[in-house]
Amino acid sequence: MKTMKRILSIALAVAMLATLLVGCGTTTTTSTPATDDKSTSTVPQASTEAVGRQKPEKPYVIGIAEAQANDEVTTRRKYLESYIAPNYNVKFIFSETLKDDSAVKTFIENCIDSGVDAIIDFKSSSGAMAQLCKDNGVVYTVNGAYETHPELLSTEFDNFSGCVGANNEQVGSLFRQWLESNASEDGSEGFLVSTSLASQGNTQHIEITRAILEGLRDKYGLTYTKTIEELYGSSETTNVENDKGLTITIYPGSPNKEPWLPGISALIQTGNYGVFMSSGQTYNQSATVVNEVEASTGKNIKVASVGALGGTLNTAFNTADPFGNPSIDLCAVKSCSALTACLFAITYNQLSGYGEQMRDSEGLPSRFTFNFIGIVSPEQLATMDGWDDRDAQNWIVTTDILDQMLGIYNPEVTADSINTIMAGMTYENILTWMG
Amino acid sequence: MRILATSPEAPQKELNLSVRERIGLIHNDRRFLAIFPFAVLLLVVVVFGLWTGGRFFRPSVLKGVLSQAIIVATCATGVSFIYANGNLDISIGSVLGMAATFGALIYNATGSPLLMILTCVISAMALMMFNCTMSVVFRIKTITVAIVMTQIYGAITMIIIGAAGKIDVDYAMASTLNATFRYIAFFVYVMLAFLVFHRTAVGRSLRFLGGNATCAKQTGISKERMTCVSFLMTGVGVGLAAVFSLTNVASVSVETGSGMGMDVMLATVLGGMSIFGGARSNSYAGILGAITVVALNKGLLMVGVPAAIIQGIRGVVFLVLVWMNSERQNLLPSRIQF
Repeated sequence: MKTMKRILSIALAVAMLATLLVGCGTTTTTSTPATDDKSTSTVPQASTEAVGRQKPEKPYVIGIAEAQANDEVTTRRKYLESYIAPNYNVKFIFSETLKDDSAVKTFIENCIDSGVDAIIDFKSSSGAMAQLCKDNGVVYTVNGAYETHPELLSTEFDNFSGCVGANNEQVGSLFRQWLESNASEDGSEGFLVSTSLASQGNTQHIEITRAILEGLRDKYGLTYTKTIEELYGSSETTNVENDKGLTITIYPGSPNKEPWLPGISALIQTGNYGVFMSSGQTYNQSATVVNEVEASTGKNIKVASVGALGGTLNTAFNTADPFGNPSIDLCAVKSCSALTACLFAITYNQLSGYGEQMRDSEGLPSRFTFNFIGIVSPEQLATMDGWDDRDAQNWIVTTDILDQMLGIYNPEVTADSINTIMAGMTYENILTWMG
Repeated sequence: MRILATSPEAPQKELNLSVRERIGLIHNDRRFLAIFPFAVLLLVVVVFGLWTGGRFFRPSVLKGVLSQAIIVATCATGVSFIYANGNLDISIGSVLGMAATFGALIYNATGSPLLMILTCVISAMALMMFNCTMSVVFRIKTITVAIVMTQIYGAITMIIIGAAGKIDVDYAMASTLNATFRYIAFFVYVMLAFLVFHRTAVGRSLRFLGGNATCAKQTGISKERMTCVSFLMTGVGVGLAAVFSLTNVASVSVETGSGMGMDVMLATVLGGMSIFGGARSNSYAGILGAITVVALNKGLLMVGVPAAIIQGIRGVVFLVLVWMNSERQNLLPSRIQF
């Protein structure tokens, strides 16, 4: 018996170790390149290197500071490690999930000690990080916007290559248009808005929340008693008072944190809401409670959310609710490879001597944007099957497009030309490229 | 395998001990428990120094290790007073965040770094004293109070910081304090904590209480008074850590201090001290543990180990170190841990 216990404990310990290391199969070193073209690639492979293309000789090391651990991050990592790295002679160092600015600083310092040439920051976007990089001769690039950190623009951070964020007006208009055609004429169904991290300054969440509130205001001719800035800045559940007496409730908080789901579930279960809109990816968490409430109240709840291409979204669009509709009615998605490629391009241009061309007419760092794609049906989603598929390595942005954004291949490249390329990544155009 | 018994009761004779028993003897030796955390830290530094071809020995890298460990180390030094007498408090992260928020607001209103420092330290002491009062007056366990107050302090901080999600302070001021003040303040605080902990009646009373509260009470030691002293000393440390955190990144956010309670516990255990207190508690275990964690992280990254594997390696190393550092229940006068 004692021996059995010992064997069992050893087996459990080995299993625990295996579990700990199960996600460690990839490395940050460049993989041995395979040769295959992305547009015809359907078979999983170790890496994808474009055929007959001369890759840069000078190697660079880039640190990637990540803020989250989700599907998008996994896809981005695969894109960088298995596609960008072999094609551009770059090595990447990936962070763990960084919880705050202090953790970002620690990661950057460790990267500097490891000899990185650049940092792409998905977490902090602050002047302190830019200064730390500048002091150590490291290029600094951020995902997001610098509205909350104007010092990135106003000071002389010649190592700052710019920022890449969502085209907030475009994504806002997606929600606005959807509301126009999906909300009732009198607004009697009630509207629940998950503002996600808008109250904590998340630019994308602010813009989407703003678009939703403005969309409701315009559609029904409402006058709110509070300003929209006050509403999205609220860090507690708030009934949006308006002159027409419509039921509009905003609910803040990160969908990835524990209290979010119980809170939103309690609101949905009141049966007071016929439209649930979210500025973050929430449909996977809320789908069950929405279905239960639809079944029990007989009320069809329409759901609009931000999301990401992948299995979760496929499931949401292909799972019928009690009314036979998909679990989600609108999903605004972004291309992971488009965002990543743009960040890589401006970073690489700064490293390879084309930094000046990434600046605006006044010599200040530029803001680069990417579009969201609005998906409203399973049929439309089916046409996007395999886009940015990390297993098949079927990327939307390949070397054909990325080379146009790099000074070493296209010496005439400018910030404007990159933004033009990014603006061209619409659903219709990508559908043409991807076939 | 043979070994000579050295117990005065037993005559000199040969004992037949298994390998496991021999390891147990070494493991439970007081000197081993005292030396082991230092040995591990030295080993980590030497191994990575050699592995990186000497790059890890560069002054900038070693200074970076201390710099990165300083916030956790300061908190851990403070919390060692609470741990020593058998209490637990995991609210220090939210206390740190709130104190740093007050400090940032005061600095932005007055432009005075001195007022900012005083605000951070005093507010942290006040918040820790509030926790202590709840425990002492209402007889609620410190850990229960800490769990509740973590939520409350976090919510208040979020409301104060508001929609921006962050309060920035002047980068130049932060850099100046970061380069000079924090090392001096850290050294002074560590020395003060060491003296109080190891060279005064207060320190002895705290450790006595942690080892055996009943005996301590019978000798006239007031648990309530000592608990207040321990929370005040912790408050000073957390307040200073709030200053360090604020000047480290020139800002405070709603996430500042998150997870600090667990980081401090880990550092303390890795440094060779039981979080359940007792006679063998010390004020420096958290410093050793924090530096070991940072050195391990930095070293693994410098030799090119991917982040995912670093997490795995770190987990295994922590498990081994925690097991090696754990006191055994047959050693008096410590308390049974698990």
